Formats: sequence, structure tokens, C-alpha cells
Amino acid sequence: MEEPGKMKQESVQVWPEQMGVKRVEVCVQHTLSLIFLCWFVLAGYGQDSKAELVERRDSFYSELQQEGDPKLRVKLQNEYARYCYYTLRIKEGLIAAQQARELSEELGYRPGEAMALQTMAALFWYIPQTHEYFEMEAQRYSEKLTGQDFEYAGIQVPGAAMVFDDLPIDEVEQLLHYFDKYGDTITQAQLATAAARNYFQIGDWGTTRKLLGEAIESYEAYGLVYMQFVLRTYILQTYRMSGNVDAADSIEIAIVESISEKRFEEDRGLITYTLALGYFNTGRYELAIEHFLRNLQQLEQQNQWNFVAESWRLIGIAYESIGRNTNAVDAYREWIRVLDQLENEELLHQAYIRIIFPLIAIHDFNEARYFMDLVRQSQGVDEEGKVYLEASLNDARGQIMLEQEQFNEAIPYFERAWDGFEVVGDQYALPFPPLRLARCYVKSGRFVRAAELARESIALHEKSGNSGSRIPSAANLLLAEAYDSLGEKSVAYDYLRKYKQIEDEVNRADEERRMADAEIRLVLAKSEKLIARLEQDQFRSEQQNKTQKLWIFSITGALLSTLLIIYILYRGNKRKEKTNTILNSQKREIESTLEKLKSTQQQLIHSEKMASLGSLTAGIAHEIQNPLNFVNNFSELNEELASELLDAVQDGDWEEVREISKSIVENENKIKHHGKRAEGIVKSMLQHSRANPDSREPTNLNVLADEYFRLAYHGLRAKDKSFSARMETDFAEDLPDVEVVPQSIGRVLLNLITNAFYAVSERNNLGTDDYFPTVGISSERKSTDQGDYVEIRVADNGNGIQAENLDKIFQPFFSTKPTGEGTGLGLSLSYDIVKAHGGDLKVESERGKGTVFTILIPVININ
Amino acid sequence: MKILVVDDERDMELLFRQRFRKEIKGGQHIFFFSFSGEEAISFLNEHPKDADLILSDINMPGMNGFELLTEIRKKHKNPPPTVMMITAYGDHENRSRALELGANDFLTKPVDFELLKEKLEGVPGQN
Repeated sequence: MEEPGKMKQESVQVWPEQMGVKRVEVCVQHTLSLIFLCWFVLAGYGQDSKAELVERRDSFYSELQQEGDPKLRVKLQNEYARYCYYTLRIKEGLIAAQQARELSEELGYRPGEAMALQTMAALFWYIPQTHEYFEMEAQRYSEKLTGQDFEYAGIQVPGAAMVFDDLPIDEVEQLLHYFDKYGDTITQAQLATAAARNYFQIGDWGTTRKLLGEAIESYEAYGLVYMQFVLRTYILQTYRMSGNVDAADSIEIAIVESISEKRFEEDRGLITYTLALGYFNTGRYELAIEHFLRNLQQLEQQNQWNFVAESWRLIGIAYESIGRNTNAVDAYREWIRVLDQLENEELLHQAYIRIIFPLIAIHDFNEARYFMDLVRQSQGVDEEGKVYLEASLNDARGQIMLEQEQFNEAIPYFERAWDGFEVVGDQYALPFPPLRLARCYVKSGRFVRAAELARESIALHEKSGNSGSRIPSAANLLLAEAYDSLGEKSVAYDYLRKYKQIEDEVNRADEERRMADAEIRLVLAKSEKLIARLEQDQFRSEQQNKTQKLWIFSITGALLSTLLIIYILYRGNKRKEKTNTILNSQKREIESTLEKLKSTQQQLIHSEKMASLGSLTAGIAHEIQNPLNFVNNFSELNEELASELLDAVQDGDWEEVREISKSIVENENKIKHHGKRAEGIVKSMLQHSRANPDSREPTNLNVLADEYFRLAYHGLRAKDKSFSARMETDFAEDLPDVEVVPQSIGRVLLNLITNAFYAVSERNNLGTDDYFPTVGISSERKSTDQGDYVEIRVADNGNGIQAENLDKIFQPFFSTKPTGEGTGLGLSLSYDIVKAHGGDLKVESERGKGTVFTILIPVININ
Repeated sequence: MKILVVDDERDMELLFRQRFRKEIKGGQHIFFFSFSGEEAISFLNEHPKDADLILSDINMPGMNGFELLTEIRKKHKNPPPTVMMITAYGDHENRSRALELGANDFLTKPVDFELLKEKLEGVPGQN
């Protein structure tokens, strides 16, 4: 087995200041790799449940013991390894994959080798330092596969091919089709996820969600709960990315609910680990530590020792990052203890290197030297690795001198460290030796040299692209100090100001994070209790405080979003080199998306129409009820009056006869009036649903607005009986008629009013005591340079529209309502309708205050 | 009895006047009409003694029946008038909300005048 020298170098991280960011990139890749790794390893098996997966794993194992044919042995070993992966038997899986790899190498059987490497890549996800190496190797082998190998390896290879690079949409779809005939739903799920990733990158959230939804269904059938968890957080991201807060929140609730379900019990350790990693990757070190620590017991009970080791490593880094070096030392000691038990030599010397620096920071130099000795004795490191270790040791020696204020003595060590890092080309480590040297030179009075080095450090730092380190801050401070000592006060002042600026930003971010952390901690504590209780009584789950959960997962969601964004940025960087290829493939993706969009657009427009008709129906029913009540009441009354009339005639009371007759006629008119009123409503409903709108006619928008105001209210009222809102109208009495297609403008009004009611009811549901849901419509005549307009304003006192959504709301398919509640076409169609009338539709909104939509329709001389 | 009817449907006035033609003629009942919650409030402020019974619609533009009821119960305590809510929504939620806010009774539309007349018998404050 080849020694994974490269990634060792990358993970021998000795720079507390730089750790955060670099780790972020590496870990983000791991976490997301899991999403994208799982599918290929999962390729190629039939309809099983999780219990069956275990059974199948064991049966592969026993078959393997009896099989003599070497190629079949390779296949069986690969199969066994993959099933170890599904069932989280990491160690056994790695051994089997390694054996498969060695055997294929002997046989010159490349498909077997590639498969083994892919499986190892997935298994090594659990030990992130080594994961990339195997992924890379797997890619190398996979690229060499010929068509024949492809055939030979059967359906495993296409699935496998996907992990290596983004497969263009059309190819994914071809493959999806290809697997149809096998009925192999798991592979299809993996392909769907691959396709989803493509759509995600072009921002087609709808298709992304659809594909992920399909994948989740398949995983559900297999009981692969962890995959479901990961993909659902992925769906959540699509809503977060598209700013659809409501939908995102409701999915978050669903995710939390599913985590507290019993079926997650087994994987809860892994899930909590993933969450902790998320906190870690976004710099929420304290929360990350809490989660890792809390999770350790569970991981130990499940014998997940690789996770335990990795958790301790990350806890150590997290402690170092927040300056708690004593805790960091303790954590690294635990890490070393577990690695000792696992007999993991490769990771052990990384751990030794790690522990040295916090030890120096707490001035435990003897202990630091002890570990430095251990590093020196490390065996089995390749040449490059040795250079790196030596550079790190020199850096440590320099640090010890620096801490003991032996500045001149420290200088040669840092210089040697610098040389070493240059040889191995470690971009992240490189800025540190010059910075430390600058400190030494300032202390020993050589200010010009110090300033040069500090600037060099900044330059190297900028080149490394490591945006999160403290180098600029420290270097600027040193520069200020150096120039101050040189008597160049104004230059010194400039650097000091720069330093202050950087520090202020960091402090502000820290402050915000601390406040958010405190909130999370509070809700997490509550939620933990809830989960404990749930385990006793699952029925209580419905009574859980939804708001609390929403909070936890809003924050977790935000965190995962950040993670995803970082990942995308990372990908983006990597992709720059391949811009041309990617552009072409994206072009194809976009074209195919466009085709699909076109075909569904018509359908959606139709469904929007039907949806608005639906919301009218309930309102119409109520509006018809009112005139019908009068028809009934007045005709009953007339019946009564008629018999009284007879009595009066018999009595000869002609005064009474005259009065009753007058009433009967009056009532008869009322009956007719209300009958007509009902008829009018039915007519307008028919008009609304008519496919081709009639031509324009002079219309009084006051009347139209009033009509739809009532219809919309009753429509909503029919759906939610507990809802009520104050309705305010302020119609200008002298409003001129305008030339419009009444049913089209009616639809616009209906949309705006329905949205307004929706907004106030959303806010009302938050349950603030002194809130009174209010929707108002007003009209006014406006004179402008371009002529006269009728202005209709629809105002609500709901939550308002988020600023970032304001410019999107008129875009087709944009909706913040949960899936199924809005087509995302209402406002877009409204906009088109108003524009087609030569008018304008505007929106103003303030968070927490409400929203006002303004329709402007030109007054054309219609007389 | 002095009765204030609050409804934004203006034809309610005619309906009531004809339905209670005899009672009005005989001086048994005096009817007042308001066509919005706001109107009713100003009527009550000006004529605090002129409503033994208030019959109010719930769903009206501007101040709705519930708001009106709340206002009445807050400001007009001496003596508190009898309030009956009349609405097209005869559902449980509306009924219990009305009673919660202090309504004495609840009627649904179309108004059953026979039933209303029976209920009037039971209203206190009849001279």
C-alpha cells in the first residue's frame, strides 16, 4: 500500500492561528463528500431493508471464505466492503477493500482496483485526513478504465464514475434511463442526487428538490436514514438559498422531528457528529466542543473509535482556536490515547506535532520537548514528510525560544522552518515563519528588517487565500510598532489604524456569534430534554414546542447553509481551471432546463388560474349567501304581508291595505335586487375562469376592488375559520372609470388581496397579543407628467417582505409560501396584466410593518 | 325595548322595520340602525341609554363585530347592554369567540325572525 504522504503533509497542521480556515475547507469537503460519495458505493444492489443489508454483508463474507477464483474473490471482497460501509463496519470494510485492492493489483484487474479504492475513499471519509488521497487514487484508476472494463464491472462503474466529477445533466439522465430496466432504485437515487447537484449549481431549486425528493424516497424504502438526513438538509439548503424562509422552516421542523424518531436512534451519533462538524467548520468552536463531547459516549458505546479519535482531534483544534490551550492539550492527550489503542501510527505522529504547540503556549516546555522527541523518532515517513516534520520541529524550537524571550536564538530556527515549508510548498504554513521572525527582529531592535518580514508575511498570507487567519492583524501591529520605533509616526499610525480596523471586525463577528451561541445553547438544552422524554413516550412528539425546534434548526440550517456556501466557493475555485468544459456543460444544462421550463410553464399558468379560482369559490359561496338570505327573508316577509293584506281588506282598513301593498312592492324590488346581485357574482366568477379575456370596458375600480376584497376575505375565512381581520376601505368618490379587462384586473386585485390576508394571518399566527390583522384598500386619482392615473393601494400590516426578496417577487415561480400553497405565478402574472394595461405595479415593504402594493392604471379619455 | 342593529348590509333596516312593523307601531320596540362598527360606537357614545339590546353582524369592513363587542364590554358597563351577534358564519369557532368576548347570544343568517322574537322575550330591560 502506498503511503499517503501528500495528505499527511496537508494535515500536519501546526499553526493554531491558521487552523480554523484551512480545516474548514478540508472538513467541508469531507462532509459534502459524504453526500456525494455514498451513492457510488451504494451502487448495484436490489431492494433491501437495513436488516437485509447486514444479512447480505454476512452472506458475502461466508461466500468469500469458500470462493477460489481470484477475480470472483475480488468482486466478493468489494461487495463485502461496500456492505460494511452501509452498515458502518468501518474497520472490516477497510481491510476487505485493501485486500481487494492488493489482489486486483496482482491480477492486473483494474476495475476491481478502482472499485476497491472508491470504497476505501468512502470508508476513509470517517478519517478525513486520508480520505482525499483515496478519492484521488480512485479517480486516477477510474480514468483509466476502458469500455471493456466498463462492461465487465457491470453496473457498478457508471455509478462510480459520478463521484469523480460533475456529470453533465444529459449524461445523468441517460444513465437514469439506463437503470430503469434494472429496476435498481438505489442507483437511480444516487444518480438523481448527482443530477440534483448539477441543478443546484445552476440555481434551479425546483428541479433540485424534485430529484432529491425522489432519492429520499428510495433511501426511505431501504431504511438508510442517515442518507435521508443528509439529503433533507440539502433540500433545506435549496430553500435557504432561494430565500424561501417559510418552506425552509417547515422542512427544518420535519428534520428535527425525524431526528428524535426512534429509527434515528442508531445513527444519532453520526448525525450529532455531523452537526458538530458543521459548527466547527463555521467557526462556532464552543458549540462544536459541546456537541463533540456530548456525543463521545454514544460513539464509544457503538465502538466507533475512528469517530472518537477524530472528535478529540477536532475538540483540541477548537480549544486552541478559542485560546484554551490547557483544554486543547487534554483533548490531544485523549486523541493520542485512542490512536494508541487503534495502533494508528500514521495519525499518531500528527497528534504528537499537534500537542506540541499548545504545550509551548502554556509554557510546559519539558512536555513539549518530550513530544518533539517522539516526532523525531517517527517511522515510516517519506522524504517530503520528513522535511515537513523537521520544519515543524524547527518552528516549535523557535517558538520555545520566543516564549522564553530569547529572540536572537529563535531566529535561525524560524528561518529553517521557513525553508522547510518552502520546499514542501505549504501555502498555509508559509506566512508564519516571516511573521515570527518579524517579531524577533522588532524585539531585538532591527526594525527595517522586521517591517520587510511583516510585509512578506502579509503577501504570503494573501497568496495562500487563507482568509480567516489572524496574520494581517498581527503583522499590521508589528509594522506599526516597527515604524513607530523608526520615528515614522504617520506610517505607524496608518498601520495601527489598519490593525484596529481588522480587530474591530473580528470582535464584532465574535460578539454576534457569542450572542447567537447563547441562544442556541438555550434551545438545545430544552430540545435535549425533549428528546429524552420522547424516548419514553413517542406520542408526546406532537406536543413538542414547534417554535423551539424551528429555532434550533433555523440556526443549524443557517450553519449548514454557510457550510454549503463555503463548499460551493471551494468548488468554484477548483473549477476555475476547467472553465471551458464547465461552461459548455452548464450551457447544455441550462438549455435542457429551459426546455423543461417551457413545457411546464403553460401548465403552471393554467394551475395558477385554477388556484385563484379555487380561492374565489369559498368567497363566492359566502357572497352569494348574503343576497340569498335577503331573497329568502323578503319573500317570507311578503308571504306574511299578503295574508295580513287579506285581513285588512276583510276589515276594510284601507289605510292599512295601502301601507301593506306599498311594502309588498318595496320588498318585491328588494328580492329582484338581491337576485340580480347573486347573478352578478356568478357571472363574474364565470368571467374569471374564461380562457380568453374579453375586451376592455369602462370599469369603476372602486366597485371591482370592493367586490374582490370581500371574495378574498371569505375565501380565506372558509379555509381558516378562526381567522378574522379588520378590513379598511378608503375609496375616492370621484374616481373616474378606466378602460380595463375587468376580470384580468380582478385577478390582479384578488392576488394582491389574498397575499395581504395571507401576510396578516401569518403574523397573527405568531400570537402577539396587541396585534390586529388589518388589510386596507384605497383608491385615488393621480395626475402625473405622463397623464392621469387611477391608483389602487392594497396595504397590509403583516410581517413585510424581506429586503432581499423584494426584487424577486415579480419573478415567475418565486414564492415564499410552503410547497403546494403557491404556484409562484400570482404576482408575476399580475405584473404582466397591469403592464399590458399600460399601467404599473409597485411594492413597498418594511419588515415588521407591512407591505403596500400599488396598482396604477392610466385614465384614457373614454367618453 | 330599544334595539340597535349593526350591519353593513343596508337592507337589514328595511327587513327589520317590516318584520317588526306591528311592534314598532305599538311602541313595543324602538329600532336604531348603524351600518358599521364605528357608527355604532359613536351612536352609543351619544345615546348611552338608547340601546337595551344590540344586534350586531360580525363581518363588517373596518371595525368588525368582535371589535365592537370588545369595545362595548370595555366602555359600556352601566348597565351592560345585551349583545347578540348575527353572522353568516354559524360555526363553532365564531360562536365560542363571540361568547368568550362577552356576547349574550348568537344567531345565524338568514335570520329566523320567529326565533329572534322568542329570544327578545327573554331580554332584560324591557319596559
